[in-house]
Amino acid sequence: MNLYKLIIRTLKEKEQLSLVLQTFFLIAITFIARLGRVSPGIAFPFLFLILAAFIVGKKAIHNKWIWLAIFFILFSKIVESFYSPANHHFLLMFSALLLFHVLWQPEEQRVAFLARNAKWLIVVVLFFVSLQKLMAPSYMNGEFFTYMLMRGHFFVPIPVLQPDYAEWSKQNLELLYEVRALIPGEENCISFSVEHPQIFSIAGKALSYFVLFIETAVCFIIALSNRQKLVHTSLLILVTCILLARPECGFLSILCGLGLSFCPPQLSRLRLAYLFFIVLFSSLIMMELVYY
Amino acid sequence: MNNLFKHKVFGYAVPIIVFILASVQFVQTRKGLTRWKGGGFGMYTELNFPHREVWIVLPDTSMNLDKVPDFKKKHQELIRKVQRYPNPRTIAPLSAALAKSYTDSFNIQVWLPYVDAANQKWCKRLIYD
Repeated sequence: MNLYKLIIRTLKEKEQLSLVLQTFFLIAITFIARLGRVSPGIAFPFLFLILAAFIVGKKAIHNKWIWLAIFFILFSKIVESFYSPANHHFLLMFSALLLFHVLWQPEEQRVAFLARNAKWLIVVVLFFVSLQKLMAPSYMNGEFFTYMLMRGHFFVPIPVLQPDYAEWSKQNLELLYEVRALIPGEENCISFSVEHPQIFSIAGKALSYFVLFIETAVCFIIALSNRQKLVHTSLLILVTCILLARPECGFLSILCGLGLSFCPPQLSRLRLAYLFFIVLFSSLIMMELVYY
Repeated sequence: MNNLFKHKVFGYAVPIIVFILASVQFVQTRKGLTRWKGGGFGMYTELNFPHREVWIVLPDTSMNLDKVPDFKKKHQELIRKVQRYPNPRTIAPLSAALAKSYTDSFNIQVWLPYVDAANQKWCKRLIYD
């Protein structure tokens, strides 16, 4: 209990910008270290220089050029192959650019500048997350979620609540491999049999609408509400929901980093929740237990 | 005007850049780009691009290029590019690579699996020809 109070007090006293820079440094280094597996020629020299600067200068992460270097590491991967990096690779790259932009501002304006931009960056991301879903036919007719539910490896709580699900989805996956082997044009379908086939279509469609509703609602709350507690609680609920659906820890840690960037110091419990998630996700990524 | 640019446009430069980039990607998804790539935040709206099957259709047979080990090993990135964004610009280099191995005329098709739960069927449909 004392330790918890100590953490909360430390968080309250901790300077906002330092906290955000530290967390994004952790996220970026974790990401770049994993990226190095794919493009070591690009990632290694920059990673070496950034870590050297971090060791030499205590305040290195307050230097805007460090963030520009991180931006360029991520940008070089995009130049190498524009359609190869994941969407959250772009988000981390632009977060680094944002921190460079923040550190460019006069010192007294930095925290407010960061808060404003981080808020609108999340709003833009959630706006497109919702728009893409709304405009994707395979999402809106429930086909995507039906497919994922039947194939398995989706929605962590289902196998926990329903142990037979793992075996059943494994059989479905085998059928799917058979479909992939079919020569198209000659035969394009394989039949299967379940007791209540309609349930899956309904569940897929219901889930699609539910997820779209949550994401759109959080987007509007962040954009329009001045009640900071509501804003950050809703964002953390969204992060938890995504985590349960699929441990996309790379994307989620960036989302938490941006949330932390405009979370006022008086909401210390919510800041602690963001930090908890960021450290948890970074640890899981480092251990290669989840997606990055 | 200068003040507007300085405070509004430059003051929100990063979210504005992200908005523009995501809009461009969103338009490209209408032309076949996977929603999972390109910075438009369309993850989990459709199946990820590796689910897209790239087939070579020859006069007497068809082959999924992911299941042709020698070709895949040598030209995996060409196949991946077609899976991510099937269009004439990505198809052309793949065709050129295939033309070295297959002298007959051929066609390249991209297929995507889906489930028709109501009719109890796993199927695939043509998404690019």
